[in-house]
Amino acid sequence: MQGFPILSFIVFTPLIGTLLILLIPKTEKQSIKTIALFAAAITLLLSLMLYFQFDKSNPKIQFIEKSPFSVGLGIEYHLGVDGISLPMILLTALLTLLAIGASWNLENRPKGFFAFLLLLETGMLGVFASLDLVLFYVFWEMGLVPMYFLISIWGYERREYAAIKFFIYTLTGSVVMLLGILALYFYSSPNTFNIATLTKSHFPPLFQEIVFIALSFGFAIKVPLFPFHTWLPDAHVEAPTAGSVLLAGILLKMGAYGFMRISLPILPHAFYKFAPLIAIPALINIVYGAFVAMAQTDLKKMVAYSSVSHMGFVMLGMAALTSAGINGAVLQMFNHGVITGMLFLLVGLIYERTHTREIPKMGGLFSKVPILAGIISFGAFASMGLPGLSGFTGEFLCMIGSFTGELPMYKVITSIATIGLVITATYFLRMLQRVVLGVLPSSLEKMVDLNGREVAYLVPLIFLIIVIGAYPATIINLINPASSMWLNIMKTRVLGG
Amino acid sequence: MGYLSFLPEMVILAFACIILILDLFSSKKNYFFSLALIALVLALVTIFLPFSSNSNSLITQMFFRDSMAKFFRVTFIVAASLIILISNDWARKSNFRSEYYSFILFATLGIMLMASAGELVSMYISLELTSLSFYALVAFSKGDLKSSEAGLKYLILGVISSDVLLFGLALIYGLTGATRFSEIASILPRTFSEPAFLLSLIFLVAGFGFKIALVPFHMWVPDAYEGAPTPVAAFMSVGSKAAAFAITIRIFLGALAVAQNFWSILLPLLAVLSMTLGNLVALVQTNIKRMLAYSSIAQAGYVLMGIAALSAFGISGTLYYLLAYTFTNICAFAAVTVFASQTGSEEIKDFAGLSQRSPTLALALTISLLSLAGMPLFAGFVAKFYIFASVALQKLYWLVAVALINTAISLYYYLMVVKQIYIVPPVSKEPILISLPSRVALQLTVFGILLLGIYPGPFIKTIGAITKNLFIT
Amino acid sequence: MITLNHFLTLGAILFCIGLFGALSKRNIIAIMMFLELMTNAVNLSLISFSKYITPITIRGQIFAIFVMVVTAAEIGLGLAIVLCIYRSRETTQIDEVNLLKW
Repeated sequence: MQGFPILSFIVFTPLIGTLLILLIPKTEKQSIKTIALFAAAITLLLSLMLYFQFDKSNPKIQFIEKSPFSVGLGIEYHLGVDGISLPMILLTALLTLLAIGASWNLENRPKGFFAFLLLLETGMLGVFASLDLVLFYVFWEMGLVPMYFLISIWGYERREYAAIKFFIYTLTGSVVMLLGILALYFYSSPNTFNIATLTKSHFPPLFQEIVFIALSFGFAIKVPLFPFHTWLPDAHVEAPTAGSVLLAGILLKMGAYGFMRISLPILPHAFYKFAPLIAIPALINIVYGAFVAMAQTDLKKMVAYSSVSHMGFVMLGMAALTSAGINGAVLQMFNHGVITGMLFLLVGLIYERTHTREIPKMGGLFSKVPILAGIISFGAFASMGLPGLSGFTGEFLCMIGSFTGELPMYKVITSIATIGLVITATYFLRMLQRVVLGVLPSSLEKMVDLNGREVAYLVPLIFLIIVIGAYPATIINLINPASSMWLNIMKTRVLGG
Repeated sequence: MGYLSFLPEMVILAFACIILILDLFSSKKNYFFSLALIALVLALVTIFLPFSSNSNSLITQMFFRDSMAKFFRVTFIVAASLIILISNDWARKSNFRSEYYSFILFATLGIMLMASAGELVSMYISLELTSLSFYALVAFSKGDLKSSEAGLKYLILGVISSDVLLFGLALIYGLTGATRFSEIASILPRTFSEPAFLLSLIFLVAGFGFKIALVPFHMWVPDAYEGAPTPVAAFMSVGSKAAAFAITIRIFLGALAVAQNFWSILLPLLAVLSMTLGNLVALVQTNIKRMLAYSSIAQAGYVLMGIAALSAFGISGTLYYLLAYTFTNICAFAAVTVFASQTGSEEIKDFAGLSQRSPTLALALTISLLSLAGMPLFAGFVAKFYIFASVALQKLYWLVAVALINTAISLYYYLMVVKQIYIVPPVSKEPILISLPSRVALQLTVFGILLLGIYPGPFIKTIGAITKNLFIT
Repeated sequence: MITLNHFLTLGAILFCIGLFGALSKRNIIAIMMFLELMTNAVNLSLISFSKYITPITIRGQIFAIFVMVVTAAEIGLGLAIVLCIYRSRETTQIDEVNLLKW
């Protein structure tokens, strides 16, 4: 398939879906949903094709696409994937499809909902595929508006507050990020926004540090790294199920991905210097997030804070600057997307049936709805890192990676981070005990179990959790060549030069 | 035969006079709309006719016939055509007279001449032609007290500012003995540290600051925009502002380029003041026209940054921004015109649920507001990016930082309108109908916004060629 | 002997008086008169520059003629708007015209 611009097709198929949906009258609800489903399914198929054609042993960027005409101002249309971005593209395509499946019964203005969902998908895929800083920024911002609408129109009670908070936080971050991007452009010679070219240029240390801080501001808000995490619980809790899934599953990964794709290769010196300063807030994320999650009585809030905790592992693994750590970080990004995506889907399913998210108002689900309760338990075990399931592999690699980090402080940090693991296990088990076991309250007598459609969109996630848990090499083999190459390049440039 | 290159201006002048005269005799009024459009289309065609402008006649010495003048003339004619299209809705409702169209044409003529003026007297006269037409247009709704009041305020402050500007021009003339920009530029270095020269610079900055609507010379803007008929406010916000920018570029970077050290300190300062104050005050507005007025003050601040960059790149950014802003702002005002002429309200809260009353109008207004806010995929993003990049290239990072923070602030109030449109449920379900001319205008502007936002390449190339030879250091 | 400076000083003084009056008066007709004063102060400067600096080309004097025409048009338009307001409000006091406020 030489010459077939598969990446462009992956990125823009959802956009075409959006445009088609906009052309259909809003009363044709069924065809709107069908188009959305088809667009997302085609995207997933194309990304699977990409996966099978991808040369796993090659650490370089593949499937490079450049537009022959210039956009102007030094901006290029330039796409490509490597082992770090490919898992993210697969994850995005999969989760969006499942999110559409989960929103199948949406009655409130489905036209706008599915149009925004697909537009969001284009934005997210574009972030992971672009190799030009401005293109990256454009796609980054493109996700913002649809997400704002998804939260503020289809969200829960405090949706407007949460949406605006999400918007202002992310926008402030990305605006500062743009400043960093501009600085990179004008400091490079010849002036370029091309990420691949920029990775080869050597910037003076002080400049690197300043730009690193500017870029990190945007990325850290998205991750979110402590103390920029306060938008996350609001946005996650108030967003509709599909929104929470994509927010936790993919949007958070964009921040960590930005660190890996832009900060690490382009600003190696600054990254090396500031890595310990990332590790500390990452540790706070892990421990503090877990403690706050334990204090929640709202099921969705608990899952939201568990995301804060889990994203801490991603950042910790990355900050350790070891091969295992970075592999673990990318793997954890993928796993967290799958597991938390599933947990949010489950919370949505519970809410549909019980109309509450309060843990104390639930109980005994196992006796009434065994399939749902079984999958909840499975998700909780995966999330708390039970060996054999995928959550374990990522966290374990991150911990090993950070424990073997160069500085002695990493050993201390890793040891403290284990507290987070224990707490995570505690609150998930407590949740299971109170929700799945115990006595069924009378208000839930009429609860029905999952239907075929609902099981269908959970099965791929369960499958992935088991497969990656049993054989993590499926993903690690993808990541390892690329991440090792970047790490080596960085180390030789910082330490050798 | 240099006169022939003024054919577009002559066409517009002729039609403006014809409309004025026919209005006296004709009882049927509806064909004036088409007449005005025909005038603009003819003018647009004649601009592209290859008339030589090299002759040394008096008039070609008074006006530039360069590619920058052509760029602005084309932009203004397109803008004026769009304004006439959106005036149709408003014209049917109010106590309307056809002189309106001839005033629009006179104003177009004024801004076209302003953008090509190459000499102090011709610049002053074209500036005053523009201002006079706009004074009349702002006060055009005769029975409407708000309109008359806005017109009066605009006129008094406008005349004061013109006088201040004129004093500055007189001083420059007195110091150099010349009125043509090129002569001034060549004579100036000998005298440029005179106190009188500094005084004249301050007067010029104040005078142009008023026309461009920069803080602290902005007080007339919200009143004039609110009181004026909406299409007129749209035309003022794009036409007279862009023309004033054109003349600022010509005077400061052409005639007064040698005195850069003196005036270049003022520009970033004014830019920061304008965007910050404009954005902060826009946050609390409840009337959409006042909000757009303050937003236009802030936008003027961004555009000024391009000039403050003092480079050909910056000027290209300025031109691109003005082009993008023309489409974006006319689109926003067109939507407001349609809405106001049907519901009679200009309050932001009445836009609630617009998406259910008219999806097209809602989408157009949203696109224009997001473009004003500088979201990617829309013209506003490329324009802002262009300007910010040019400023960053000059290592004025603090200015870029302030501008970026301002962008974030501005997004909030644009988003509040979008929130009303899409999220708040409507008060009345009555659909809003869009007449054919307005629909055409909305479609054209939205197309322009998307084209400039997604495929800016050719435009950037054209503008780059225009400004390449313009800059004198 | 009367030099260029004398004319310019007179022009500047007239300009300042005009500006002060235009900003401080409450009657619209009076404001219009002060605006005229400002313009004529500039005209005076233009003509004296023309006389002393470019006596041959007389550019300043031509400039002044254009300025006079423009000012006449401005004031005419202004008075028309004042008339418009007077018909409905019965006032020419600027502070009683106060519908628009921010």
